[in-house]
Amino acid sequence: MIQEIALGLLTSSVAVEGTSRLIVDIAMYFGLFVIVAMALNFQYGNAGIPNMGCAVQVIIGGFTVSAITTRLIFTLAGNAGVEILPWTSDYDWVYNSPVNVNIVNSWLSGKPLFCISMLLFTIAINLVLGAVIGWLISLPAIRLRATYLMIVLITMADASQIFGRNITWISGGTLGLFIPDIFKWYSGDRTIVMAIITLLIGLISFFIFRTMLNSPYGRLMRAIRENEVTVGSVGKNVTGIRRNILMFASGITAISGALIGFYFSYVVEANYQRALWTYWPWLMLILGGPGNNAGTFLGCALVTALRRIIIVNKWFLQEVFFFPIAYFEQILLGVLLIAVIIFRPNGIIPEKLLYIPGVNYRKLVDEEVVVDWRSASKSRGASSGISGIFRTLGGKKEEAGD
Amino acid sequence: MSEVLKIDNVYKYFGKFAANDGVSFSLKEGGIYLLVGPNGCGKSTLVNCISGIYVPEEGHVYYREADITSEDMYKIARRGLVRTFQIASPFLSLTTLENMLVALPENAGENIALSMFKPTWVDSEINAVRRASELLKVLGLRHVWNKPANTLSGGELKLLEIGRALMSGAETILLDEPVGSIDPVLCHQIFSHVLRLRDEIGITFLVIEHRLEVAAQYADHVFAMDRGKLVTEGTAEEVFEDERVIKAYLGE
Ligand SMILES: Nc1ncnc2c1ncn2[C@@H]1O[C@H](COP(=O)(O)OP(=O)(O)OP(=O)(O)O)[C@@H](O)[C@H]1O
Ligand SMILES: [Mg+2]
Repeated sequence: MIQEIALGLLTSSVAVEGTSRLIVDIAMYFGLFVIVAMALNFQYGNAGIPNMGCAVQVIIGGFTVSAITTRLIFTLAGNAGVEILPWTSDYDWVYNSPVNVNIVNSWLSGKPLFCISMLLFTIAINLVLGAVIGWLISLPAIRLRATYLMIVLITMADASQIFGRNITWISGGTLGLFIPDIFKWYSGDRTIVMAIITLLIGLISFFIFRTMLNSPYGRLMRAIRENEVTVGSVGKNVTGIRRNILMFASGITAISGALIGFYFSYVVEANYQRALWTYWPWLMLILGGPGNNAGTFLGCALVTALRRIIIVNKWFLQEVFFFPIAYFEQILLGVLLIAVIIFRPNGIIPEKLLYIPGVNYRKLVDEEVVVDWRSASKSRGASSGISGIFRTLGGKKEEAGD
Repeated sequence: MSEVLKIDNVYKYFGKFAANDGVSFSLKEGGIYLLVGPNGCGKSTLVNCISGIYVPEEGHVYYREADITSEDMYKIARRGLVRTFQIASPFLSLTTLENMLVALPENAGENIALSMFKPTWVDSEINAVRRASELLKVLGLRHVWNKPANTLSGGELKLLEIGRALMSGAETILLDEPVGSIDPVLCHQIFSHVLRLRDEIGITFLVIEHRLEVAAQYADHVFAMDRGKLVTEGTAEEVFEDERVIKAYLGE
């Protein structure tokens, strides 16, 4: 199996089939969802913001690919002398898109570097636009608590789909929009490259989130989850910290929306439904264990594998089941969610009390008098924002100067 | 001694009910002030108004000459004016030590961007732990450093409230019933901590307590409230003997 995939990659001509195909498929979806689930663990599991609007954070990634990257590629191709059909009016934008993409694809096939830079460009734009969405989400998130916030965010996600459906220049409205294949330069099975890249990005974001959660910042987030008034009473700007959390998590989440757009070479708002991009990640988080990184990872792996296996094998499953299983995975989603909440509310691997790994707290506490507790720490102020970096780094310099 | 905190004619209404009905007083640097009054007379409400949880409808609060009346709670705390809560409000699932660490104002690792790069914050974390551990020792909490706050006893929680305020680098601390439901021995321990902190680092305290006899011996100055108003102030003996105070506590 693994040899087959490796072979497929090496010979660059064999398309994967059967089980190997399924594995590639699961790897792809795992890469996508581990981003969303970890971001949710960041926002809900640790900071306690019940973000029911993951779908809106994802859809912005899709919209970035269709509305910005595609336009950029068309423009650059046009400038390079590629003769593409008119695409600037809304009508042409949608109805010429299959032909244009086809023309542009053959132009792209000889330009791996250009394609990779387009991917990186998209990710950068995702981070920015995702952060903007995160800022938007933070507006209600500052005032509203739990249930009301959830409702507002669900509505936001649905509203974003309505925008996509009705504003043609974003993602082609109901018809959707074909987008250039930035893996055209790879002559073999592009889904393998796609899956590997996605998995890689997924794992990188997993480790970034994990590092952040295992730091004083993660501890601060958990403190806000436990008691935000107390956090405020010792001089921490809870509103600002919440906003930062949402902006950062949204930026990262948006990447998965872009990647699935590239994977399908097609963006349509209907691909970004809240069932898929909000409820499934919630199931992963709750099943795995909110607040626990390993749990989230495991939950994501289990749920993704289960879901893809069911979807891919529906034809065979139908023969075994007596009822129509068109919506089997959705039924399963509901049943699993309810079952987990009733029987294992803390997930498979519950959150455990953890000090920051790598700092020996016991040793530090047992140490004999080192600091004078009387010297109050006089430097008061925020260290949560970007300005804090300069203060910290600047402070370091001053110390060195002394 | 300079004036640290000045409360100028503060009114706070809940609907038509005035929980603070024109309260004015001021605190001088390095004093231990006691605020007494029967249940429901508006002591906690006043602390909420000072610390920025409520904005008073009328009147002003000044901290070191700056008007902080409608400032955000966290900004007031950063000025060095920190309060504790009548109902201890720790971070329940965090340990005692972590509860203390969160309160430290300047910890490089609490920066969202730097938190990704451990070498940038590990030193400041180590210093924070040392400082927290010293404070825990001073308060006699070091043996429970590794216990989650939801397993601490009521008395330990009250001490943790004080520890958290100290950790945040407070210069003026408003203690809302630091010895409520505490046994007499711990009561006197807590007040001797208060004395020690005042003497050694010059922290100004405003302590709320409605059992006059418990706290009187530690206070420099006592304010007595009743039904939202300041009825009298003075030394403990003066307030003790004031008939308005006696009436407020014992009824007509
Ligand atoms: N959020 C609120 N909404 C309405 N009424 C309130 C609110 N907070 C306090 N009150 C009322 O204001 C009055 C003063 O309350 P406060 O908590 O300040 O009393 P206190 O002096 O601290 O009493 P205790 O000694 O019991 O703590 C009480 O009658 C209380 O019912
Ligand atoms: Mg009270």
